[in-house]
Amino acid sequence: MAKDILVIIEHEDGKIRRGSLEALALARKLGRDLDLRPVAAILGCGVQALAEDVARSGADEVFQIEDELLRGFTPGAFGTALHTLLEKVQPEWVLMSHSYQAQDLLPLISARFGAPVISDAAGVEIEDGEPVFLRQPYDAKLVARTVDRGPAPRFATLQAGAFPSDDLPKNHEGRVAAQDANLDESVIKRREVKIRAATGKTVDLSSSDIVVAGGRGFGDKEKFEALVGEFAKVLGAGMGASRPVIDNDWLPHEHQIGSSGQTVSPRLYFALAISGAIQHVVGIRGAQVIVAVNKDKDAPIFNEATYGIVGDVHEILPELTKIAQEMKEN
Amino acid sequence: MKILVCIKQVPDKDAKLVLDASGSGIVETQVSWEVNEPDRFALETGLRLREARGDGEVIACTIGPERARKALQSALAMGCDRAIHLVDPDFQNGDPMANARALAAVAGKEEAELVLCGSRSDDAGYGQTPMLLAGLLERPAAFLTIGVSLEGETLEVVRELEATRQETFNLELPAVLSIQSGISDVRYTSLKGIMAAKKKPVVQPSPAELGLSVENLGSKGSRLTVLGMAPPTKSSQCEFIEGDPATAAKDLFEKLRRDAKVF
Repeated sequence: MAKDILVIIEHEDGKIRRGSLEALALARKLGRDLDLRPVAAILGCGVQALAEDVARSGADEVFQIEDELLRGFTPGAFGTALHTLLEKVQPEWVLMSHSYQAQDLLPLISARFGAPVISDAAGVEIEDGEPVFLRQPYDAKLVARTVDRGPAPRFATLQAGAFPSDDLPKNHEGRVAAQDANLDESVIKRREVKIRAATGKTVDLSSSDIVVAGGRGFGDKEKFEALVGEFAKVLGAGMGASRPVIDNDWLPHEHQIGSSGQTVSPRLYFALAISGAIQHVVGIRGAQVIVAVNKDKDAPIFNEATYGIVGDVHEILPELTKIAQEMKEN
Repeated sequence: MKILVCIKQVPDKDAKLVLDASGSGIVETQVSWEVNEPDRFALETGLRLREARGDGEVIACTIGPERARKALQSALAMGCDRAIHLVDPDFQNGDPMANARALAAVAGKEEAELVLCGSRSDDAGYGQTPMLLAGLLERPAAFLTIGVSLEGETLEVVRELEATRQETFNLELPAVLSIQSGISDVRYTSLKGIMAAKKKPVVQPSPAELGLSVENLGSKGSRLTVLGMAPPTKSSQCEFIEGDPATAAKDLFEKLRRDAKVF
């Protein structure tokens, strides 16, 4: 009997998260290539309908793990239940979307098997019957072809949006295996867990037609405010920023674009002095036209851009503002 | 109370990376090195917790060759009390699991109640060593900590979530926290701090002194292998606009209007 490739499914507000479907699609593909059975695990409280949904979407078997203590996410409860499941199922591979939950959870489990996680893989190739994962170290300046040659189970997390999920079936005849986790409350170490919006204020860039975003390359807060602020004002654009700008307090957190901030899909996006770390790029993939200005011609942002200008934003941005101003006046 | 802060020395963010002859590493002599950015926030967090409590010890630890001594000197100059340098060749070039084993042994030997790490290194960027470490130590942990305070033996943790949300909870010590960049302002090092750092102890324990077998450490103890590295293949989509700033700006808007039709 074929061994398993297991996907840990995340869900939120009664829906399966898209990244988990991408992971399921990859599990099905690797399953065909490596002769493994694509299976899934879903944890929660009252998730039978979701489990059936996963089975229809292409998992041969879905382990539906139910417990009152799995109602909200904690690594204690989820980790304990998954560890028990992995000991039982003994999959060859465990896949998960490279979500914040995966990063908060998966290494805690993999460590117990003596295994690291091939994290944030942006691609996979089969070479000599072995999956070779493509990771992006050094802030995506390089691609590293990475393999795990340790014993099963092996673990990998997948970059959001890097693997297509559109070829999943709609009426796959997978089966659901429901089981109780029988968790003891003592496994939960986090107490008084509360989730809230990061700030009281909200800046909704998701509906902006044009978004102007700046990065670390502006050097200081005054220059950032003067140059990016003026350009955004002239264009009537929303103003955004990459993480280093927020960390340096040049702009409040609600302007952050990327995995820990907002996802935007404007008609036109300006990435000014933004290198293009993947945490930023995942937030802008829906933009129709991306203009990148960066002094480093090898900056990864140019891989995402429609138009690129290699140069110093301090020189180029005033010119862009000038032309935008002329255009506005005409 | 003992706080262990694990740091890493990485190439500076603007470094031009040149692949080495093996194709699976970079030429180390061609880059300048700095303390990994999130790790500086982890150091700051450790120092603030010690200061708030009014007693205790902050120990900086790194795995790395001789050059990494400089990262420990920066940590000591910021105010750490002492440092541990895992410099033995058997510790080097490990995958996150091999590194976590070495750091777990240090945390165990030091009986550190709290272990802090940066959330992710700017080089390999696996972003999991702190959580593997927590798994090995069987301690509670949190990934992407953006706020922390300590009341008695209870940590109040704020953790970053996706889509501008955050999660708060309490954790009992001993614990492991992965610290996100931006958690607080990192202090500048004073000349006095730099002078004082020179007198602070830096020890270099061997694997045997930590009770570790070399088969489980460094490159020998690693399951993950990088077969090769290469620059990303360029998407041909990007149209580069040349010329001096004024010309380039004019051409860009012309293309946005005429070709992309966004204006």
